[in-house]
Amino acid sequence: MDFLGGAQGLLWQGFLVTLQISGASLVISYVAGMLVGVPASTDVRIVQWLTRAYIEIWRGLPQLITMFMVFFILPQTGVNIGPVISGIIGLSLWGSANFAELVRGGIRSIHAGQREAATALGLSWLQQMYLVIAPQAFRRIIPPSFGLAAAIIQGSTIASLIGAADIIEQSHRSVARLLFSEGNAYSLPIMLTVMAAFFCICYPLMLLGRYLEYRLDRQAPGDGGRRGLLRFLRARSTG
Amino acid sequence: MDFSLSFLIESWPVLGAGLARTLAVSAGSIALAFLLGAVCAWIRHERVPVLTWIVYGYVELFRSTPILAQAYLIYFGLPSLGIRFNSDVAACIALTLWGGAYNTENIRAGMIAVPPGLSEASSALGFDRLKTMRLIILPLAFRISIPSVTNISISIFKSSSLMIGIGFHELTYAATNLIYQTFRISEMLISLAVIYLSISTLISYAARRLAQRVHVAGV
Repeated sequence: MDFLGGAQGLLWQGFLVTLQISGASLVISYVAGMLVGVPASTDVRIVQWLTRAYIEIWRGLPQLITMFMVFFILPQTGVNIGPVISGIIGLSLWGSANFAELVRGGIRSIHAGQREAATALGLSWLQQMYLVIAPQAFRRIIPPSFGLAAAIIQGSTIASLIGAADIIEQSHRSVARLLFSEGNAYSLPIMLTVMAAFFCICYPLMLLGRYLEYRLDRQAPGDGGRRGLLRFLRARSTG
Repeated sequence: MDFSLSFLIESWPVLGAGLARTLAVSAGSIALAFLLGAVCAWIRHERVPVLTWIVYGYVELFRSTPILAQAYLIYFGLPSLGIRFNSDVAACIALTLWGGAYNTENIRAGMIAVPPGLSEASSALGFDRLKTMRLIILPLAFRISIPSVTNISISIFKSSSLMIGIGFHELTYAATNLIYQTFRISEMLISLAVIYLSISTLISYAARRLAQRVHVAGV
């Protein structure tokens, strides 16, 4: 591993920080996104306005600006947090707004007749939700949420710009340090290693999301498993 | 937190200069990413030998890696091969390559969505493949892909803020610099948020108007 000029230790440390930021943000985004997205799909006007404002603001702002807001404003109110926590909060605001929009869209896409039929059967709102709507909506929410997961993992790199020592920041520092101490920055292999690390994590996630979406598109009974996968791969290699 | 309007007015020349650079790099990258996406989508759609696999690899690689890593690779990594850009050019290249990868898929999806009967009809009329693409498929594919291309264009505009990582002095850089000099945090962050949100809204409004104007019934 000498092609990295001894930077592999720092890169590994940075990789662990990247995993921390993305892991925490993934969990918080999905939980908070659910808590915002389900109310957003109801017909209560005031709830719709509030959730819409949340979704539009945090989806609309660049992730970096959101992180800056958390990083600069929270300490003023007496809460002392470092760049890693600020990054997690900022990224989670963005991720939860995006997931909330997916959840809202997924629930809204279920035909109104389903809900009417459930009402006619005397099911309560909660029963309608988890017996009728949620099982159908989730089939539609899950495929795009894999793409969102990849986007959240990629977004964790932005925390390096507010000072989190993630893999991007460590690669940057290593290049500067090696250039100074050895005259050879090893910059290309180091940057390619960082790219490879993200590719190995995000590409399978995106492939899986696309596969699930494909399966949803041409849903036929009993065609869920291996035959679907084979057809998916064939369709991709020719198209 | 006190909010000082006079500070905002005082600092406007600095913010405005940053905004001008943000807008310049975004406009350039949005246009180039659209062109790159159109060419790559054409290569993929026509399955040009060898090139189609290169484009496929490029699209998958750039969609699965963070734009910040790509910018660092271009700005810090390439100089060891003797390829050197200043931060303005590197920022533009990074945003273009990143947006181009997404636009390839967007425009290709638009090409696939053009009803096959249209290209069959055009070959029945004796148009060759290039003419079919240029006169029949592309004009419709562009119309179909307006919403998705708009989303990526807004993302390019927002992602230009990340280019402070390679020392590109744009709007966010100007604002954070002012924060560190004056500790006027709320003024700067609120103006940043307002500027980014309103320009994004403007882009999507313009795209909706464009889509209405060029709308063709039935596609």
